[in-house]
Amino acid sequence: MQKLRTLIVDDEPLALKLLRAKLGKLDTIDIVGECKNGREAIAATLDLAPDIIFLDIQMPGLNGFDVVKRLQSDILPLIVFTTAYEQYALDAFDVHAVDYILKPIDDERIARAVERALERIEGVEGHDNKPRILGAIDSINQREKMGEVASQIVADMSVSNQIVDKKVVIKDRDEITILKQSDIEWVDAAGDYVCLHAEGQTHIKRSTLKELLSELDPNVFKRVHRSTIVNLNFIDKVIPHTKGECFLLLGEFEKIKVSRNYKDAIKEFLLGE
Amino acid sequence: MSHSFFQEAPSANGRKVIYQFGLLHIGFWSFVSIISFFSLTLWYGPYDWFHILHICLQALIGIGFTLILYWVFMGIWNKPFAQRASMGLLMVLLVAFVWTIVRIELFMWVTEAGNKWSEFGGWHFASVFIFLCWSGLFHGMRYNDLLKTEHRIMLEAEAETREEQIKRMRAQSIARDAQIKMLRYQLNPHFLCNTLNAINSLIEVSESEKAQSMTVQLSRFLRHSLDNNPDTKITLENEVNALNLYLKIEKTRFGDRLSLDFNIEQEAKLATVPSLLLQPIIENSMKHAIAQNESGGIISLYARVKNNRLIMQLSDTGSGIKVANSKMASSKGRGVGLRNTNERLKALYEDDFSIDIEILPSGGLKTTIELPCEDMSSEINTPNQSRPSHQQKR
Repeated sequence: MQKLRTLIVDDEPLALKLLRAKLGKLDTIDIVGECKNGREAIAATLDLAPDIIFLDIQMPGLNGFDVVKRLQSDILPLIVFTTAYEQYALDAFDVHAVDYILKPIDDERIARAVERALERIEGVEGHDNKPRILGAIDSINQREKMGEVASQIVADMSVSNQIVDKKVVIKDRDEITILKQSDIEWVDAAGDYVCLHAEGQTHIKRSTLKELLSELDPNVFKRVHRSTIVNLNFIDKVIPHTKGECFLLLGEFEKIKVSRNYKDAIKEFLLGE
Repeated sequence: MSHSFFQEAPSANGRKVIYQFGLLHIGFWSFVSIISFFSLTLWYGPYDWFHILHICLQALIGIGFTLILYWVFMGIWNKPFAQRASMGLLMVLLVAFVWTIVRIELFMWVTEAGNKWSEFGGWHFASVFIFLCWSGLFHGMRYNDLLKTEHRIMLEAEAETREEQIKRMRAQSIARDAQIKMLRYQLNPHFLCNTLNAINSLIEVSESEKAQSMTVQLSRFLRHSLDNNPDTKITLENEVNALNLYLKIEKTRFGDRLSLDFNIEQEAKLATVPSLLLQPIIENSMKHAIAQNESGGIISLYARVKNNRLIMQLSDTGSGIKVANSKMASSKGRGVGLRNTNERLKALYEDDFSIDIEILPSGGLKTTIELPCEDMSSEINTPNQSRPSHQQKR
């Protein structure tokens, strides 16, 4: 049987120890890495390409949600949140079928999470993990009440916006962000959501990739993966990888994977077109 | 001595008093006049204008006499009963006698009926009863008024006590709310679950001694939170001991990421603070600085006594995320917890305290609390008795 390449992430050393001990007992699990914060988790995911991450939510710097938001939906492994989180977040997880293990961790919950992960990986559905988690994050944010007035403003703005300038309007919690298209570094889509990554932050917008593409300038934004779009102006480095894939470095921290099928777009760009 | 009906609240009932005063005199004499017209003038005939004029004039003069009686009655109102009764009766007889003379004289003059002095006894007899009747009426009204006033005062007092009771109950419920909030703070499920997870981990890797000591720390900390009423004051030393229970647990959880820098002067250790005062602030620092910062941080607590004031300074090293950004978000979120602290201190010290929050350049938060320096004895004894012990300490 294929072993699940597993990454475990928790900021508390004891929690990490427990997770390692519990998962180590399962012969379906192969722990390939341990991280103690979100930043490390993103780097390790890109380097190690694990099948599954056991991810703590409350962490310093980037929390568990941030990690998911920042990882390209195309390469996002299965995520199991390990958390002592508040009840309302757990409700959101249940609604959106996001897997989670409650702390204190017990064998039963771990076994169930691993079983589900195996089913999902063997199944045909593949990795559609991100839209579910984004759905959960969205409903957690909605709890922190988004005024109806604000929604109305957003609706009005979206209409007028298209005429005036190339901007993208995002409602996030209780505020509305207006992003200049030229500030957007890269975008990835997950189901009904798109994540816009700009100036070190990730904004979630409820929209399909198709809808967003019709708004974006096609000369600047190119597809590099099935669900990932990159702003060509932000590419600093291109690092070749195995099997004809490559990584794009945007700025100092952002690293994007380019799939074989979309490599040509980057090639064109590199050749000066 | 005032001659108004309502000595208690003359201004509020001024109009009513004048009205009653007028009613008593005019009403009474109108009544007497009408009775005498129907029972005497009509009965004995001849009813001409002179007889009616006589009735009106004698009534007007009567008003004058009852005014005198009124004045006398009010004057002797506070005298002993026997004195009042005898003086009152004497006055009534005297006034009746004089009024009878005047009205007979008037009758003879107005109706030119000739000498009526032979009928003096009959006239006087009626007069006495008229004035006695007026006196009865006066006293009836006066006592009725007093009764009403008394009733009103009683109702007012009752309403006042009820209002006070409501106020007291409200204050109690605020205190209880604070207590529940504190308990909720202590029994923060997030903290509890993470701690139990850490204990779970220690058991898993067979570090049973560490697991045991953490369990004991947790139970001691919980007992301290449950046993201590937020209304009571404890010494700063005790408060810090309880803090250490909590921080030891957090230190096991977070390892190297948590460093402590405590510096409490000997004198400050003996000063009292409201129980569980510092706990939420430290917990806030854990949540917003240590748990948020990849490389952890330092929590500092300095306490000293200066000019008989206890000064406590708590600070952390911040979340390490871009200062400009975290400044807004974190200070907003952290303000809520401090509002509770502020409310508690206000309830206990009124305005004799200060609490200051300062965002450090590092992004950390510094909270400075200043309280009057009280020691344990001032809690039990009166402030006067505690003072000598203060000076002894210096």
